[in-house]
Amino acid sequence: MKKLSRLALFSLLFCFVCSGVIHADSIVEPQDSFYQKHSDELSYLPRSYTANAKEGYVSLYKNPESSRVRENVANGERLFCSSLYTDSLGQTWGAVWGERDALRGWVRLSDCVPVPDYLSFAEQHESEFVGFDEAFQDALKGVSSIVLWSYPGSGSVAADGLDAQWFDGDLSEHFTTCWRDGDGRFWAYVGYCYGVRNTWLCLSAPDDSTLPADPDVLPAGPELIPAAEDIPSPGLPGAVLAATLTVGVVAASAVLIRIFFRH
Amino acid sequence: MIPALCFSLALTLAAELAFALVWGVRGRALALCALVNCMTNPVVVFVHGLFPSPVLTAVLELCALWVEGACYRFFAPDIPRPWLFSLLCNAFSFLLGLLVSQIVYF
Repeated sequence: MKKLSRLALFSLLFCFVCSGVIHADSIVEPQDSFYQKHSDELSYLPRSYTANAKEGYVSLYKNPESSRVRENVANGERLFCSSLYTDSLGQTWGAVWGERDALRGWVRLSDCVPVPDYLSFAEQHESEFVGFDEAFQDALKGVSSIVLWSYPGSGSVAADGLDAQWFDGDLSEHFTTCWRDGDGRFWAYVGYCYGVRNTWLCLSAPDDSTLPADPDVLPAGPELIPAAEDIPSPGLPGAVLAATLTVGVVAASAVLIRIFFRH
Repeated sequence: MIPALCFSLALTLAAELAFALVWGVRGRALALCALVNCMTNPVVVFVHGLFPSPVLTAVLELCALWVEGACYRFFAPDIPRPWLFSLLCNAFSFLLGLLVSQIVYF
């Protein structure tokens, strides 16, 4: 018994060290099987979209091959997708992610419009991109912190207060894709800086966070369809069945304990 | 959610019954161990699936620990140290679940 107690205490200590928090029972959450099964067919492109279906809401499906709707989202809501899948009919789907990296569902991208970003800017202005202008070799001298923008003329600061030291040495090695706006400001594309990806830096005013938005830098997007007044519930067949089964198993177990173990 | 409920319960039963055997639990008491876990595990997994909050899950797990310990105490007096048994049993099944999850993810 002493040996068993020692073994028990050691096991407890080991469990506490590994777990950190008291946690009982096994809770196993399987990964999304479609995502894993079709991983070779997915393309990775993190991008935000605005829901914009003609019904006034978009449906998030369990996966592109399933008809089960997990969630209906009102038009206007922003959806973050990172993976794209094209089905056999040529329809492109995006995997929509929520908080804590939880997969909310898959959405038809034809029901969404991309939020204007660096890709939208590149689609419109790629032919105007130029190489680095040596006249801006000293653009960051004396600048302690820089401002990164979603794209030139967006008016949207992607990151502020970043240390300009990230771009030390020859700036032509850091900035190979550049663009000059209508007001003569010179911009440089920044692929990565302190964890921030795909942004633009205004070399003409690297620390100015008040650069105005230019509504003409991108063409007006499609008209946004108003959200439906009544968004239908997707139904909770899975959750209802799970709840029924849970209650059934618990009740049956309690009854059996009461019958067979009553003193 | 249903596959997660079934898999979690199966793993819990396997782990806790194995631990119970090591603890020296036999016969009817072993059956009680199985029934008690059928009573607590599905509830914890179901609520965790709906509301994956670590704090809520921790509270539920502590409640499960208490329910299981109480059942062992009152319905199987031949189980030695029922409260410690409940605590260690659940810690063991949690660790096993963690290991299984790591293997599945990698």
